[in-house]
Amino acid sequence: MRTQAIWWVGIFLDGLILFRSCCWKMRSEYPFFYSYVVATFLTSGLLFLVYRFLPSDYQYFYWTTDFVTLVVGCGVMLEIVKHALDPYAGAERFGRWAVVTVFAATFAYVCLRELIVPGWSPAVSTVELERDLRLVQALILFALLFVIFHYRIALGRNLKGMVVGYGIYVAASLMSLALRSYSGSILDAAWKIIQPFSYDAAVAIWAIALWSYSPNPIPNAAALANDYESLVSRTRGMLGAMRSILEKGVRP
Amino acid sequence: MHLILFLLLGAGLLVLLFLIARRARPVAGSAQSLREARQALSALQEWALPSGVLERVFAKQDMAYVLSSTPPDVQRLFLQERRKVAFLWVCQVHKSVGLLRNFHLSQARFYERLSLGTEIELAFSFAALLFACRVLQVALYAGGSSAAPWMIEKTAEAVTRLCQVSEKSLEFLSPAPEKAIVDGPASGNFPV
Repeated sequence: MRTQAIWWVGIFLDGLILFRSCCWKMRSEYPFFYSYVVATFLTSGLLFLVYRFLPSDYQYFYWTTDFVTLVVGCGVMLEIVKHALDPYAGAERFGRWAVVTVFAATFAYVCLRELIVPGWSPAVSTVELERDLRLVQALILFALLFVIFHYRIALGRNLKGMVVGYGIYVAASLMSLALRSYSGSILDAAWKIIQPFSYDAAVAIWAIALWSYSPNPIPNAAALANDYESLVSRTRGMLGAMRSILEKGVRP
Repeated sequence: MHLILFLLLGAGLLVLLFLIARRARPVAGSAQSLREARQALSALQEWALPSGVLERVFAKQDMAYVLSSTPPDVQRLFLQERRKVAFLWVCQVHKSVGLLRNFHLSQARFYERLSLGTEIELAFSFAALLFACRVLQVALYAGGSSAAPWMIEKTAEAVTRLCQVSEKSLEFLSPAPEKAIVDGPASGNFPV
């Protein structure tokens, strides 16, 4: 009963987000994000019907739809890159470099492991496979958030909600899947609550953050370009002067 | 071992999300960060870094004189006041370095030709310097102004290195200013 309540709350909030997106015409602004919400809304509804009428096939449907939403979920990260990092060419370069490094490191790790340990497989069960995919997702998200945090990039209400909601869901999924694959079926009951509950938390955050359209603050790049040359020349002068003072200070 | 890594990554992600969610004021535009950087540099130049100030705040001769030829009350007051001044000096350097970092980040994020190596080097230099300031504060709190003269020297050396790297990192941002410094009227506006 409790599981079903969590389920219904998720479907209701997904529907609410989609309804609000129609009111504010936000789907064209965040197409990848709303594709993900549509995908989860449809798969949750489908899974509910399967659970009610074809319970023996539920496991199969669950893992299939889970992988579909996991892949579509990468669109949320594309949305973050597109809206948060696009106006900042330097930070975007850093973010791109970080994402490529994570992919390359993961790929190299899997290849090397297969070469060194014959017969080794990245995942022996669906739980482990999902956990490993979530790990890659978490690493990429971590790298992107680190760039956003490091360069103090301003996030609007919509984007901040997307980032926080999705981040909570990915982190909770990663931790619960890791615990589940480690402890076997002992934590099954807890996992069945934690996974959908963390999704409900994410959807609740999205419903609040995306209640109305709030664009991401765009930096005034034109004004910056105009005053940047004088800015750099002044800064270089100040740094040079500061250095000479410091050198005097260290070696009087 | 794997489980711990997964849990740590999940927890790290949640911490980062928390920090991003609670951050009230991101780095402002160019005008404000430029003003703050100027304030930071002029504060450093005017009183925090000149060699006379450094020598006087941490001079051993003054302390030796006061400790040898004044009553205990005066000695205690002297040590208290000196610790306060030294503490203020470190706080000012810490604040100024933080403002300079903000200035650098607020500008560098826009430039496509940003050098990743320089950025990483700078990030470590800033972090090391801010950490050194904190260590210095603890040392001063625990042992007074005479506790860490070598650390003061190391901190000043680190600031010097940081300035060299910062200057180098700013070169790629715009090749034109080189000329502006020599010819342009902007060169006369340095607050130095």
